[in-house]
Amino acid sequence: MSAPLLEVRDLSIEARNGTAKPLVHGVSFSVSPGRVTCLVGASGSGKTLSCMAVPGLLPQGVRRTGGTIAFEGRLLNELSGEELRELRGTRIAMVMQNPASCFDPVFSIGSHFRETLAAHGGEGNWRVRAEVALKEVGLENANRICRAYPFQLSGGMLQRVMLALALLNDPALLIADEPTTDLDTVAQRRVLDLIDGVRRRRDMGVLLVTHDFGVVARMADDVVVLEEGVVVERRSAVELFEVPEHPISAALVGAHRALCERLDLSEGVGG
Amino acid sequence: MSALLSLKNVHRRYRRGGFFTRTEMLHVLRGVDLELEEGASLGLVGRSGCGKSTLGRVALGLERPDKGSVCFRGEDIAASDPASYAEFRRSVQVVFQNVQNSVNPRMTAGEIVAEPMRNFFGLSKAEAVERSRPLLEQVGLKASDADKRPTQFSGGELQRVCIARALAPKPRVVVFDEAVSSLDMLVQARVLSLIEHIRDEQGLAFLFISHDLRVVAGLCREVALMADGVIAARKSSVKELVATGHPAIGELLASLPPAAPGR
Amino acid sequence: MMRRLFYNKIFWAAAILLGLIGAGALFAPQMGLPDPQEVNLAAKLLPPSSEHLLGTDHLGRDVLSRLLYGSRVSLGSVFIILLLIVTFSTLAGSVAGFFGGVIDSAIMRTCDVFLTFPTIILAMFFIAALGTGLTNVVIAIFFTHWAWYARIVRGIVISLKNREYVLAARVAGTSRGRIVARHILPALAPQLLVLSTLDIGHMMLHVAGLSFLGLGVQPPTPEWGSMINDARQYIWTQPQLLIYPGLAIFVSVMAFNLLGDAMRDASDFSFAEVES
Repeated sequence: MSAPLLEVRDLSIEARNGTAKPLVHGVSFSVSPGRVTCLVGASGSGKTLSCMAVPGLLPQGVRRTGGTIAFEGRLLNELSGEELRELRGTRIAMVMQNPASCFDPVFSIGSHFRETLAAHGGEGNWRVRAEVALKEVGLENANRICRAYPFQLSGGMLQRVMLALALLNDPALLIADEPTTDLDTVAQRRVLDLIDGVRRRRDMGVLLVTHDFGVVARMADDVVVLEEGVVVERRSAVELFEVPEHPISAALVGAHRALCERLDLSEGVGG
Repeated sequence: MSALLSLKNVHRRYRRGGFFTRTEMLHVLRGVDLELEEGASLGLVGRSGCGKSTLGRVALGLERPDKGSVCFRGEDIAASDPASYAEFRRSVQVVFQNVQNSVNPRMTAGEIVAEPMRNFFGLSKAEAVERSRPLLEQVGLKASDADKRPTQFSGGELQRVCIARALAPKPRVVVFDEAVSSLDMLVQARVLSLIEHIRDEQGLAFLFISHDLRVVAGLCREVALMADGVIAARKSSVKELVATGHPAIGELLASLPPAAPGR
Repeated sequence: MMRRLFYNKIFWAAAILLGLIGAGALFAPQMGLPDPQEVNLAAKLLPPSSEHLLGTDHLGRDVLSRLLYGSRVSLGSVFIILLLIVTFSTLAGSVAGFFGGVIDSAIMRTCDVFLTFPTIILAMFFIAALGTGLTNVVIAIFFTHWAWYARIVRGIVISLKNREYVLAARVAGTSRGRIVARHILPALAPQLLVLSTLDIGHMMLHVAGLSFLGLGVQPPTPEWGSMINDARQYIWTQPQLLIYPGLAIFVSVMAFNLLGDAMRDASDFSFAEVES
């Protein structure tokens, strides 16, 4: 296995004015090129905070109080805001849970592509580049989509457009925070397949945050299970599903298994 | 005897676009016929945007159909007298997907559950809040939780409050609109078993709207598939629905994630 | 919101300042000041002394007393305007937003018409038609500003009425009136409070401006804008006569703006969502 692309060590995050216990404490994980690391846990387990700390996008009111974040040989926790911003549009790409809120409703999809390209290099041939990027996420009619406004597209489509935008500058790491939680299973499957395809083709590392063990089963190479801000289990996905060690992991895997077993198609239907 | 709740040839269109832009009509419901008998538990599956939530809102009387009718015990709710409309209003209740938005953040859980009882049973606020306590216990919360506000509950607990509110006016039908879709897996499993328990205990009719076949499969005695604004098929199990070979059900089935990593 | 405000220093500074100004306005008659309207030409343009803390003006009237009594007019009229606007706009905006359709269109087109009137011109029209006076200034500002609030209220109401909890209240059999009273107005109130606080300064400037032009408060009633107008001819010889009321307007407008800003920052809703 190659050297990790992203290596987070002993990450701690606390509320700015709270003396209560830290929100995230001593969390370590890594992402290797071409592999998917899943951060999983219930809501409030600190999985989203841990992931947002990587590109330096912690929400107001919380801050990183310890630990290091190494990415491609640089310590992200020592970079300036400007350097991080530069990195976010180029080497690190992001996809969020709610695609609708990530687009500016008054600008067309095309303007979003132009803006993104203008911010990091050139917008010269943005039409061609947008078309290529949209094609990669399975959206053929690039012209029509570029003319559309965000509200005219469905959630699944928007999420794919967001992915296309994220992939424009050929990132080494994709950070996806609950990218399919608001989507139906069909759109979810399509988005996950796309991420997986790009990962394979470009040898991109993926840090995926989710609460859904279906997504974990579909995507993950390595899994980090969080509970109340600490890592309770960290192993390969195959092992985790076979013999979950920590009771929390066991419960989560069990709930997922039980959900899958509700649908019993064993007899009568082929395939 | 006529069905408890029935939709007859229901059409619903939305206009999109504004004054200066080209308007387009979205024909969301294109002639839906659906009957729900007393005590039925019907799952309604389909992709997002197929019109199943609109169907739920029309069945609840929150939106009027452009064409067709919604009948409660055989009587068109648009033409019913105030007394029978009130009876419909009390008998058909709802639990929504978006848990945080489903409750007024300024009210306590007790007040939230009390609201329908004040309206339908003419109870005073204090009486209704007292009566909310056993209801909260019935959905697995504590009687003392009636004094807590929505911010003090987790998502799953809040959904239980919403279920208690739906049960409070002693309804005959509850519409669950993606009611467990935004919950964490463990919480989802617990809320599902609560819903199963209520179904067995109270003999309510259910309309359970979801895009997730797995959720519907264990819960409903009947499953209807919605596609392109109509009910494409209605069968007694997901398995039989799959056997119809309708492309929409095939798509839903193929999209389910694996039970375990398969590499 | 309250909690965050509690730790905000600017909020407290502005609030204390406004508290002082408000107390001055409220208790001016109890402070044993000289009559602000009493003309005494023998004592005109006096420098500050123990008898007249800020001196006297060109008619020998006590400047401090005129400033404090003037604040009653300036602040009082603004509060009356806001009360009128908020009451009327909440009614119009809620009706438009809640019922929609033809009623909505009718109210909104009316708003559009009112939004086209410039405040000063409309005030001049009223004054030409009805005569000068503070009442007409109040009416003019009300007419030119209510529509703006009504549109914002409508936007908020529309976004609230499709919230699941409002739908759930309908399913729970709550009547429309009760839904507005119980679920919509309580959510609207804090947003309106912040908006109107941000707007107080703006309205004060209107009142003072119209009075400066001689369209509003008539002499000898003290008012900050008309005090500045009175002092115009002494701008080179007795600049303090201009500076005192000018400073009073500046400080109170600024305090209201800072207070509004602090409240907006502390509140967790965004106006961008509702202003369209």
